[in-house]
Amino acid sequence: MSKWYRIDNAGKLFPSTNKKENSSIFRIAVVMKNHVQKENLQRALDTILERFPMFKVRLKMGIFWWYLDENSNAAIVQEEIEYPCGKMNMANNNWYLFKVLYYKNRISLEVFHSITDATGAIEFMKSLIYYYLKYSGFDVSDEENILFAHENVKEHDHADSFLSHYTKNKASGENGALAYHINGTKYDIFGNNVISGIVSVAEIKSAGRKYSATITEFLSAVLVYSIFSTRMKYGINKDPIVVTVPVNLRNIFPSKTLRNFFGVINVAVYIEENETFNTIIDKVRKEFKAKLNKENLKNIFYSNVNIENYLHIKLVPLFIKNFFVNYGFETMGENKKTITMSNFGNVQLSKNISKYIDHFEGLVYPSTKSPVAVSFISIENELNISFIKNIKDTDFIEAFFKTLSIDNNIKVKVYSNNFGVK
Amino acid sequence: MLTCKNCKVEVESKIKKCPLCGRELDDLKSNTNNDDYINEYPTYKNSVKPSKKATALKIFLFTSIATIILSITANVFLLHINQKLWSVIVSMSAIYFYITMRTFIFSHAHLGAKILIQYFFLSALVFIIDYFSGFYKWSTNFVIPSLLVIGLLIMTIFGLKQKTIWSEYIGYLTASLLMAGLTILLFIFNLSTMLWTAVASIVYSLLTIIAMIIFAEHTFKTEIKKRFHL
Repeated sequence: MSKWYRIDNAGKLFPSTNKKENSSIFRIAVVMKNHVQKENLQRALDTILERFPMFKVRLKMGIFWWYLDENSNAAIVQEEIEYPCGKMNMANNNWYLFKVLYYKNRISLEVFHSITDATGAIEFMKSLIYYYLKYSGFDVSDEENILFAHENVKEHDHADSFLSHYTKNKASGENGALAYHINGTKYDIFGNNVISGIVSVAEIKSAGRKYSATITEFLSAVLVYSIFSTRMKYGINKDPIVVTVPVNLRNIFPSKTLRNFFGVINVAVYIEENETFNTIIDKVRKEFKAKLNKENLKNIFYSNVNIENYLHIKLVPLFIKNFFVNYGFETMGENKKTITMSNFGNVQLSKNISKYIDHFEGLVYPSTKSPVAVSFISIENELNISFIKNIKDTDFIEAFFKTLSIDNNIKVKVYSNNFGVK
Repeated sequence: MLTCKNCKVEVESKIKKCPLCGRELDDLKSNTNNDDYINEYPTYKNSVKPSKKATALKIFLFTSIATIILSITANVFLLHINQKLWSVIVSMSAIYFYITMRTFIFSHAHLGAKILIQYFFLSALVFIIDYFSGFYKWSTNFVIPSLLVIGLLIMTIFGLKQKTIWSEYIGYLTASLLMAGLTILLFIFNLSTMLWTAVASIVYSLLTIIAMIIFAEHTFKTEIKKRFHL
């Protein structure tokens, strides 16, 4: 097992585009039924860190690429003070690329996207929670769904699955259209405001079934409809509303890696005259059918890995690469999406553990031209949908939850971190 | 239990405003106690106060720029009295001062990087002083090669003291060798008249690297692999 890692294909982008407006930090948080005890949390972190060597790293510059080197400093849990998903100051964090935060009932894991994706972060979180409860004196034996500290680290845990599933090919990236952008008023000081809604998985499922849609398709449609009904009220915009949906490639290509292994599909909805929720969800389902399949995902990740394998890309020194990656990201990536919607999935934990948990929360970061992002995560029957934004506007979020609560009769409990609200 | 009549949702909030629409919330049961606020977030600061270090750095930056502009202006206007371009020396000193403040107060960079930066800017400073005060070549003949040797010595001492971060110095030591090689150019372009001092500094840095390769071969090889991987 090596003590340093080449950054995987997906992770290579983030160190070059990292800035305040595009922090590349996502969060997995759990709200427990009781106040979090800092000492037990620190002990749990100390216990599991050896089991997750791909987390025990620091970011370093090579001549051609960034890479992850072993981090021999101590990882300390911190009280949450700042707004969620802010740019991580690694110098103040013992050079780690993740943070474990606590505040009242909440344990948060903030992660810089170069080391792992949501799946890897959730595994880390599950182990952390397991040992936290164990050290708090609760009986959590019989748990099967987690990675234990005493286990050996396996080769597949830190495999670069992008490379293991890659073969030489002629794939080329999809040429997406320019997307509609959400604008808004910035706060007086920069920061992220979070608005979350908790709903029942069963109620959302049955609402989706009415339209023959999965939960993801249904929520994507509600999102598109909310943006349309609030922002295109006085004039249809010819640019499509594009929802960027990260997809866990482990469901399609066998992998158990705890590092990045995801692809991204762009669900594009062109708004026409007399659009209704029904017509929108129809379009959304068609898009998912066309794009969420093995062939298309293979094409996407092959074309991404192709780029990093071109000799004329490989041999460019890093400081020049950074500049071009940034430029490409802004002009090509950012211009082609309206908003990111991330499905963090359903967290598998036995009743032994979940009885101490109220719910999970997932947050992805807003980006330069996309000041809002939304993600959802569930455990048992609790589905948490969280919006994160660095603009004051709440109109489309209000429309989103009202579509659920009023149009679909779903019970919703809303709360917010009230950043920027007086 | 707080609810919003407009949005038809339940709200958990210490502020009696709906996060979605901003309207006032209704309290259905007046026995909401603090235990219900399990989703509480910290209270965020309303303003961002710059740290003392940041303010100090801004003062240094302004003073340096002011010094440069004022000295150049004075020099140009007094050129008929004093032909010497003394403002270049003053300006370079101001730049060196700011760079030093910045790397030593503000930077989290590795010590090796700080040493190299010092070497580069201090060399530039002594060169400018030498050039604009007769150019007797004491800077290129003696000072610049000596600075390199001193810098390398400091890096070696610190690297040996803390064996754990020894591998991090490898990059900087290699860069030093390159810098030493460049001092030959000074001789070729007649900016220095003594070849032996430049050669001595090259030999010293070469020996440091060779010692590193021999005594820490594995670390050296892994470090090269990490830095140069494609």
